[in-house]
Amino acid sequence: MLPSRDGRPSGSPTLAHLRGVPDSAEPGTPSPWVVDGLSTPAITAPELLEHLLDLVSTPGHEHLALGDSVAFFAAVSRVALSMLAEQRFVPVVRQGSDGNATAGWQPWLSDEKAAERVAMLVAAMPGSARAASDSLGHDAWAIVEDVLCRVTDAWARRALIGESFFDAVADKDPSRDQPVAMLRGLLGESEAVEGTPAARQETARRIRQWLSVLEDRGASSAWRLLLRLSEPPMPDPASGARSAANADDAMWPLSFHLQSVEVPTLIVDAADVWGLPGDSLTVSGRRIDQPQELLLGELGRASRMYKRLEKALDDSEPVDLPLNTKQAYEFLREVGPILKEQGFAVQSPDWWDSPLSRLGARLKIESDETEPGSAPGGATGSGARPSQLGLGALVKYRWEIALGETTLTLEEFEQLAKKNSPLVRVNGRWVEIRPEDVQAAIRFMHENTSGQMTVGEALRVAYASDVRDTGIPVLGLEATGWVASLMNAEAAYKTLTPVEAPAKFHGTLRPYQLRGLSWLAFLERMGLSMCLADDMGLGKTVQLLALLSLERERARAEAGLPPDAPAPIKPTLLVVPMSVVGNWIHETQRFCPDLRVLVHHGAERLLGETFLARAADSDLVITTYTLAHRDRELIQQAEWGRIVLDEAQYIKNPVAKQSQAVRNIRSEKRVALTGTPVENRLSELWSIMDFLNPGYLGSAGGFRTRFAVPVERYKDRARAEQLKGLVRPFILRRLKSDPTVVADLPAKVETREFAPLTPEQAELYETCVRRMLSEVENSEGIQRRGMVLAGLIRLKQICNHPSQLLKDWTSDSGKPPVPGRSGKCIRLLEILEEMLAEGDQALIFTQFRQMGGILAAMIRHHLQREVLFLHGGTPQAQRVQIVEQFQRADGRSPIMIISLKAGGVGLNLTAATHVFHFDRWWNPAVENQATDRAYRIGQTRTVQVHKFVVKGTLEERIDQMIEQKTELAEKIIGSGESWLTELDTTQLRDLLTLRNDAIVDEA
Amino acid sequence: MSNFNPNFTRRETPPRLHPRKVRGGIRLPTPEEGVSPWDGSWAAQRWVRFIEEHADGQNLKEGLEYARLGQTKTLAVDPGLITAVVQGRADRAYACKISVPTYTDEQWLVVLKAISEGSAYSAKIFANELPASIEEVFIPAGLKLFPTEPSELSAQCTCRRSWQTTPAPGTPAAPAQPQTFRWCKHALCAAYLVADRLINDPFLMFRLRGLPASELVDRLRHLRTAGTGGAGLYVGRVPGVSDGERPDLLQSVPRFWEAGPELAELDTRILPPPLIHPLLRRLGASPFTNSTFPLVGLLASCYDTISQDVVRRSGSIATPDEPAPADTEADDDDDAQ
Repeated sequence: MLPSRDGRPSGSPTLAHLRGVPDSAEPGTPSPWVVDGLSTPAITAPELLEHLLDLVSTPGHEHLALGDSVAFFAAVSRVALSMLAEQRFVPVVRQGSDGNATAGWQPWLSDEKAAERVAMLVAAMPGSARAASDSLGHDAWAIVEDVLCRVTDAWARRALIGESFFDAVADKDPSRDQPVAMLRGLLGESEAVEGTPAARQETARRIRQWLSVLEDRGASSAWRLLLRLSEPPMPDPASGARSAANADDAMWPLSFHLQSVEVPTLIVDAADVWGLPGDSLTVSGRRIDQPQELLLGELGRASRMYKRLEKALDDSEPVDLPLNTKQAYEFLREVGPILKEQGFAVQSPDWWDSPLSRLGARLKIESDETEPGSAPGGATGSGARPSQLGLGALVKYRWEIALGETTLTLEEFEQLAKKNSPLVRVNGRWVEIRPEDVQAAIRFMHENTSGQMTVGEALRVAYASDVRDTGIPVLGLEATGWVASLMNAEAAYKTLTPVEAPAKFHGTLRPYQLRGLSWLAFLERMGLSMCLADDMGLGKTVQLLALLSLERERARAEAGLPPDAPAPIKPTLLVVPMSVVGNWIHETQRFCPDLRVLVHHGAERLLGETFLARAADSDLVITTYTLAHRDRELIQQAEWGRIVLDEAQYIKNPVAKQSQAVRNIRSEKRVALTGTPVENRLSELWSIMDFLNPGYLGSAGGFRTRFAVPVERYKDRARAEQLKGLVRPFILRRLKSDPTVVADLPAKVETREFAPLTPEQAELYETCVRRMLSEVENSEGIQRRGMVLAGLIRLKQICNHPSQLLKDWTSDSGKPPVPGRSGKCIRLLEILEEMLAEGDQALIFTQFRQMGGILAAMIRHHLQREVLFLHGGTPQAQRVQIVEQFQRADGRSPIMIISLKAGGVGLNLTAATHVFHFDRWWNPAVENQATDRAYRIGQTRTVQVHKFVVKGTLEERIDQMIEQKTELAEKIIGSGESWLTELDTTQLRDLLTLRNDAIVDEA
Repeated sequence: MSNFNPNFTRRETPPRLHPRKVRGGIRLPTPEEGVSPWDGSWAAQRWVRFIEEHADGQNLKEGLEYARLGQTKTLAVDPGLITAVVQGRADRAYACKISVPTYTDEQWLVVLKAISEGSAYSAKIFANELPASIEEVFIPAGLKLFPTEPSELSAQCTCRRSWQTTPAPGTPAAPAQPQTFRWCKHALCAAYLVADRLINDPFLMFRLRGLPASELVDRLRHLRTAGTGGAGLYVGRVPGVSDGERPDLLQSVPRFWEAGPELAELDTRILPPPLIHPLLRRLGASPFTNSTFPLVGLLASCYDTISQDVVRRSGSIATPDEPAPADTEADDDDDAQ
């Protein structure tokens, strides 16, 4: 059954987005359809589903998409396997309506943990997973149960057949022995339980009854038996008792109580139960009926699982059972958990199962001290000794055995082990020493005593070692010296004294930016590479430029040079996507005009020796990812002090040529800038970390098996924590919502996005200008005015997207328009992607309804999100609905395109925190009015306004004129566009011609 | 299988005294002395009582004898119809049919609703048991599970000694006169065998009435049964899930293609148990007290084998295309150049 409208099944939103069409809000009602399918036997289902999930995420398979039901059923089959692995399944015997009996293996779902998982599965099931019309009747629970049971039975049997278990019953007569009949239906291929009808029925009945014990929770639902194990009392020193570590003769009392199920703090001691007469007992307003019978009955029930309790029952009024240390250990480790599952309450001493009392190894590291506030040394000399810093630095290490919080030497530990007791008292605290851990610990210490290792290795061992490899758990790392501040990165960041903003830096750094700058400098001093992953809009560009400025200031100071002299530092190579070259140029000119910048881009870029000479003479060399690959030999020849990657997610695919090219560029320092939250995309995280600190996270494949799949697919929290520990020192990430940041952010942040032109756009633009100028040359009056205005519109369209001018795309074209044909579109999609990852919503203003349509289709297809579109032709009722949907902010339609003459005056769209002016009204008042849809009363967050300007075109020229408030500016603003028509041809040429500094994407 | 053609005639050899022997026929087990074979099954008893009350004594005796001798070659119980091939004294076996009126879907819906409202019934039915009181739920619907009047059934046999016309639906049964079956011994033999089947499968009557047992169970499931407290004693019980509200497909439509947020939280690691044989420790000794087979010991080995097998195999599920991962710890640490 699929939701259908107008006689056709409605597609999923994912499908609509892939095709670039609007996702209909009304899915329709379920109707039956016949659909082609493939079937797979239960035994292969888990592997097949995992394989599909893997397939879709391998490069080269972007054309495949999977519905959620695949991931869902993969999870269901994994739960089945998980229960098999944990031995939480039972043999059952079923009777069919024809009198035959079958046996099978089924998961046991009634226990708390299993029930919780099943409840989660049932709640999470998408409708599509239960669309099939079959005997399960679209029932979520029945379907989940069915899959779980089939996978369980299939895998159980395969394992048993593989070990020829059937041989145990092959030659026995099933009609003589009921268990044999049952086993013959469990251990082999066949499910049949043989025997007479009466025997079969009997077998089924007995098994049913046997299994019913698992659900038995005792006679009373309000009160249950509580067994409490207490530590033996501390030996009295005055009585000359033996050393604390000898606990052989200690007695551990296991006491009996009744506990209220609803109010677990309400506990009645057994002594009181025996002591107080009567048929019932009232405690704090709650009544226990027949308390003595209840206590005895429950003790009896518990004794089925714990034989030692029978001894207590010899007493007519049992109060407790004393245990020696070994028996206490047995209770804690083996009996307690089982009793808990059966509904009894068990209280153990609080040090049991606490991480503080386990046995493990601790790594101790010694490193040199550095003063954190001192100057970040220059790349060459001046105090920094590179081989003793950074992840490659060698440090002395030593291993120690830790028992809880106490550290022991190997000798002390061996002595303890000789006591041969699983529980020992050390310094007044009890600690568990498992026999297997003892052996492993001794072996470990003999194999790894002390020596030297690199800091990188130390971190890996401390955070990411696997117990299976080391034998005993590694409890952590203790360090002295500079490594210590690395270990405790968060605290170090907070206590770091911020540096002073460099003198040559124009503009003010916000407090959090100063802190970011200080941290960058600090890590570089320690020889470490870092990733700055602040949210968009917090000013990563600014912080990096400040770093360059600071670095040069310090270097000049150390070398005793005057402030105007060039600093004796190798240049920084900045690799950026094409779409932001303009932005970087602009920002550098604005904040650090004294930096000598070389832009390596375009057909006329410097090559060969000229390039190398100029680069050596520059402070900052900007190039693109494409050229980093294409000109790699040249670039690799130059000497770089630092390499910075902007939008570092561009190297997320480690085998891509760009990624490899970038990795092969030698430099002493490395920085990665990215806005996307890397913690959500682990393969991206690996690639960036591998660029920053090669080899630190191991091989890509190893990382995937060890971390990526377990964390992302199986939700392995322990591994997630390990990974966090490994990368935390190297990633600085502040969010817009951080309290320390919010206070420093203005309510509105405006930025200009200087977009490039594609070659197609550049050519169209130039042709159009040429044509326009020649036409205008030869006309006058009204005709001239008309031509100018028409030409203007064409130029605007070209800057937006060639399709707008060429009219080579309509909404029925099937394929969405290609963003790669328009520099603005490329940049827009990049920003939107980052924005969506942060969970924000955006308004996009354009004056052209057709462009709105192009953008909508493009965004739907490339970003897989629903896009709302408000334009002149939208009926009023629908407008209201659209606004409501947007303001609901439920993540389904986070982007709204508005193409209205008045910019949607009056609409309240405060759910948006980003506003894009894709093409401009050359009238600040009008533009602000549009921005005010989001930036108005009721808006509690910072609004980021992005104004798109294509560098080198009339857009930039006019923008400059308005900014600089030239004479023309007033006319521009006041009279719409008619001012253009008053310009003479020379002035027009001056305004419109494509400038040299236009950025044209050569790739 | 003989043709069912009442007009068929054939020159018969002189009739034998005893029916021809049938090898592999369906046989009614002979009960012990003094014990009625239908004890313990109220359904079988009900059926037998009905047949014995209304059938001709001599035919009954012979029918029973045939049943005990195993003269029935085939027996099929389908909705509305019992078909049997019984070997008599003639050369050719006889084919009989007994028709039982079935109930329509609407009629069943009424009955099923009544069943599902009584929680005790559902629980028992899911546990494959049918309490005698189930007949009561049919009464308000004006229906009955087991027939009470001979006119409700009709039998035909190729021996042509059996007939009973069923009154056309809608016409009242002929009043007053005590009705009898004029059923031949072959049909009665089949009837006894049906009784035998009813011992192990009381749901057979449902099937005859048009609702096979599997459908019965399914339909009961569909009917929303809050708090039935037991859709089976095994895995069928997950508190809060299997006995709770079960939203139907329509309610999933707004979110038809998307999985819920719970999927992102679900821990699906595959790990060996912290304590082995957790369930066996709770289950205790084998329930087959009359057998010395070491069931629990064998099951313990099964558990270990199965668990280890799954853990081993699932190590390879994570990355089917990758070679066995090298130990990351073994990588040399390059300089950060």
